[in-house]
Amino acid sequence: MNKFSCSQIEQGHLFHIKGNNALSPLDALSLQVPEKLFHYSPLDNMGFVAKLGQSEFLLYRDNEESWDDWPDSVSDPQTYVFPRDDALFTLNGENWSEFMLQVCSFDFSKSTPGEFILANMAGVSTWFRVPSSDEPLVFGCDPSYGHYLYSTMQEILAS
Amino acid sequence: MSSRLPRQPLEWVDREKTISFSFEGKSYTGFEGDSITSALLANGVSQLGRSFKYHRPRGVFSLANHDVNALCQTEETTHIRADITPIVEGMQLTATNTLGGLKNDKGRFIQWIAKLLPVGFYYKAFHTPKCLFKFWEGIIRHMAGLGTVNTSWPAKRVSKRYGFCDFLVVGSGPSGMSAALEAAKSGLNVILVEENAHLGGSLGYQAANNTEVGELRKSLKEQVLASDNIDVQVGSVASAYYGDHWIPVTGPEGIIKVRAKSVIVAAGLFEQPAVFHNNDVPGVMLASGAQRLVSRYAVKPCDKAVMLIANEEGYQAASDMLEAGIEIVAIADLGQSTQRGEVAKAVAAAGVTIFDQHAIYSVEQEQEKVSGVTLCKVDQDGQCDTSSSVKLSCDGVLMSVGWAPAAALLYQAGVGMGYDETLEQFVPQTLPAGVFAAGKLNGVFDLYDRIKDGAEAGKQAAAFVLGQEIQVTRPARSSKAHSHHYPIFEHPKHKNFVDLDEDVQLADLQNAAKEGFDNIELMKRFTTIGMGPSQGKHSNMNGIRVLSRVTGLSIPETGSTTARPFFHPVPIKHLAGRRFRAEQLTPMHDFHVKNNAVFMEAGAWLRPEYYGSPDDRANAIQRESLNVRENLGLIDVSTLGKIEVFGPDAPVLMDRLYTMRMSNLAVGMTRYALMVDEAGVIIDDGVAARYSDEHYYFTTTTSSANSAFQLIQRYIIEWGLDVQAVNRTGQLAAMNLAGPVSRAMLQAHTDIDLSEESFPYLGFKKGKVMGVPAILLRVGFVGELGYEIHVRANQAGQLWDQLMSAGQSFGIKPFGVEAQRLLRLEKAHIIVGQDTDGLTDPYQASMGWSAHLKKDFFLGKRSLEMLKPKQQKRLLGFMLPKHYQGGTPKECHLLIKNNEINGRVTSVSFSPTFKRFIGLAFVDDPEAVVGDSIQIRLDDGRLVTAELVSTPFYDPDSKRQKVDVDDYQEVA
Repeated sequence: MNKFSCSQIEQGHLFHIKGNNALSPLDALSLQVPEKLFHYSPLDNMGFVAKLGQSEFLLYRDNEESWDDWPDSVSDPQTYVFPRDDALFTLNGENWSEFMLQVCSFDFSKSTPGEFILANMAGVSTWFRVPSSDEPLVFGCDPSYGHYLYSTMQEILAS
Repeated sequence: MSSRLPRQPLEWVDREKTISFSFEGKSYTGFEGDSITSALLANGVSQLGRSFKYHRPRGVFSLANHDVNALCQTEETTHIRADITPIVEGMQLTATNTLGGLKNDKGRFIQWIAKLLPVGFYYKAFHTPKCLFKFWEGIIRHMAGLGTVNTSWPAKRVSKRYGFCDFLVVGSGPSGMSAALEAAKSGLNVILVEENAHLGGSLGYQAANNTEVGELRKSLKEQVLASDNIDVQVGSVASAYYGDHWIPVTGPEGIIKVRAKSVIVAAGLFEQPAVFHNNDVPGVMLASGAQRLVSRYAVKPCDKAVMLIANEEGYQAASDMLEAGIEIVAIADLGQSTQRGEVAKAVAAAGVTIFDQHAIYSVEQEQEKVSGVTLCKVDQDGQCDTSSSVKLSCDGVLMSVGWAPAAALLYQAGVGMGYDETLEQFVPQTLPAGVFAAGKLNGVFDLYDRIKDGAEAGKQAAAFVLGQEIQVTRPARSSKAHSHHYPIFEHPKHKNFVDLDEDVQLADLQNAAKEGFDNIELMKRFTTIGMGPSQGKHSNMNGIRVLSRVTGLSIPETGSTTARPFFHPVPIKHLAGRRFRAEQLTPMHDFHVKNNAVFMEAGAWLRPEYYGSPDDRANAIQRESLNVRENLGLIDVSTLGKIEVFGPDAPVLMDRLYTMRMSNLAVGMTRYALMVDEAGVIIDDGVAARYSDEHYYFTTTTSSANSAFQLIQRYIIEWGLDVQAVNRTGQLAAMNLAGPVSRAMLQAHTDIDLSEESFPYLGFKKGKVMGVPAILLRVGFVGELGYEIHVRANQAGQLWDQLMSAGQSFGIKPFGVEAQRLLRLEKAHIIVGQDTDGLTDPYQASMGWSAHLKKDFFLGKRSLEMLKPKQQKRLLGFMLPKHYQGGTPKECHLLIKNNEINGRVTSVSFSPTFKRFIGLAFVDDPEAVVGDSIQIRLDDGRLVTAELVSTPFYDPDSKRQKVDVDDYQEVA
């Protein structure tokens, strides 16, 4: 039996927040924002706020609340909130960094929980939420590549 | 198993497990762990292959993958290296490169006409008449082939993965193991790469019975295997070196692309052969090969050996052979045996006859095997005195005359290699940061010195990785030569081979040098020395020595060649690895599949080319285009690049990026957006919409989405603008609803007022379509009233289905990329990359109107100012006669005027609207005007006359894009 498995995440809401006042909507939601660049603060379940730049964040809420209207409610002209439909996945397995050696040139064995990595995976630009030891690796990519990345992962796992 | 020895202390074979296989149709058995070569030799089979050019019989030589004398094939696989490939139960092998089998190879007669076939003979003999070269080429390739490739074999994909370490140690001899152990003391990660199946390097086959050496070997191996931070990769080759310590390690499971922080190369040496008459006959082999055969596989190389020796290692080999029960008939020492140390004395004391200052002049053969040798006295220059010859009977010849460093990785890493005239060997002189060399390759030969040298290299590497400064004392290089300066002996009958892979003889090299190929690189290419599968491992050093002697230059002056990556052959399947071919699908892909779309690739995207059967392609495209003109069409344009820029400097950025002025674009409107590079060359186009004073949304061509975004990000930084950009290409889907009834159909399903007054041509609106939040852009790429609808990707599939359903009563049909290309051609809208090339500026594309040179600045402005008055060609429309029946003009067909090329076709298609071929072409004649004729040269060379016409072909006043036009015929 394979020691790794990959699943798609179907639920949740992902937002790309960018602009000179990008922090303000996150502050309004009382969300803890990571201090360091390319790190994330965990939210409930597998949610997170990731810091991609001084004025750029990625927010993922894995809950059932409707967030569809949230971007429109942010009225600050210096803040732009874009809902995203990334293909989201989890990679389960104790030593998932070993599996990643087959698809990614980034050395995940040196990464630490809390890091938010942007890297190329099997030819696709992908973000990775480096988990604590008891969690799966969560990663996502442009939705148009979702089928390809999923089928590629399944093919490798099957081999 | 006539040649199998009693159990040897380090043997690799498992005598409890017998394996059956066949070679050349005969069945044999061997033990698990045997290589094909060792199993065949154990069965008394000494002839293992035929040579590349002359089809001479060949046997085991290095047993180290440093030659390809023994190449085999099975039904499925070719180029199996018998020396290192383990036998497998049921394996059915044949030798490669034979015409009718190994024994009765019809090609073997070629060697009798070898005089007529010197290197490069085909260039000299067959270059005229030119028409016959193909004929001769076929024969030559047939005779000189290496195996048969079964092209119907199943594709086998193997994993290619990445690896990371702090230290990559290449070679697991005493130097490599001690280097790994020392580096591992830092607590950092070490990968130790060993080509063979077991650790030990030369400790595994030289002096295998020596107790002291055995203890050292055992201790080092145990320490390495017990270390938690040494990852041992056996059966793997560090095949190349790329920048920043990036090394592909080729192993049985595929390639590991290792990024190391430092590299220690302790790969040892390749034993080099002597060159004498018949030095390739089965039974002639390197002494180290014989040691491998005895120690690893417990197989005798021969019963009665004559040895040619020029170093201490040769006497150690003689001692090992005596220990194994092999009779040493005599030793010919190229120098003085009294200078070869204690081991030489021991061999002499054992009663072996030693001929000092003697060489092997020739080998005699019977039934294609060694039957004896002729020794001659030899002087310091290597000249044989044939008057003093001694004939000896034997069935094997073992050579130990010198070494060459396994330094391919070092060469590739930029290490400066220099020739040490004491050692008679190339050694590393200058090393780049993070690269270290140790052991024999570094010129250190004493066993304890090699262990120390490795350990010191490990310390240096650790200090480098940890950023520390340390002082180390590396052992001195050996003070005496371990290689003979010229172990190469002339013979009037030649057949004294320098390169066994390519059948290159001494005279070939001498003649090449005399013909002017007297530079080492030139000689390599002309004679092909070192260009065979062994990549010069056993031949390059002697090639250098020969050239040096012919030219009178020293070895350092002659220089050496650089082994290029990969220096060792790697299976294609390993290079290919698992195929990662990223593919993008739009959210409407399932609909396209269900509706029989034939897909085309657009970058990584799959797009519907048309819907229908490939047998009906042309009709399908015309049907789809006519339906857009007459009724209603829907095309998936999700692949367009979609970028938003926002911030106080957004208007400035847009003005600088595009040729047209964007800062005066009214909020709520769109404008054609053309981008050129610094040279004024068109690189992209699309439509820009202004959402607010500081916020724009624009599209790019499908293929330019990523490159345009990168360019924008770069210029935002370079220009220091307070503006931000987001690439939303995959996050948003888009579809173009086009046709005269598009407004009527769409109005019922949107909260946006689509009236001409409220939503004019080139406007955009945000609202809802079928309840889905959407952005509507009123653009007209296909030349009809139309609305581009942009929505979130996760809502697009559903919206598309609803529009298709709601549009049924309006005659809606999906249309593909080809119909769109035809429709836009009728409007003479260009496609960047099809109607432009890497040199096209807006003036050549007849789009001078798009370059607003009055703007203060935009990318490429200065170039366009210079190019504007210098136009030498223009993109113009043409039409063929209405009832033209000849061959079909194609894109890239040339225009011909007065027998000279006068331009080329960029787009052409049969227009159902005009019922004739229409197209766009670059005409290299600025004076050409509408009404002139052009001639297009077809594939078969015929010329077709076409007429230059004004464009757009269709609806020149764009009435159909601005109002509902019911009478289709009126504008067509």
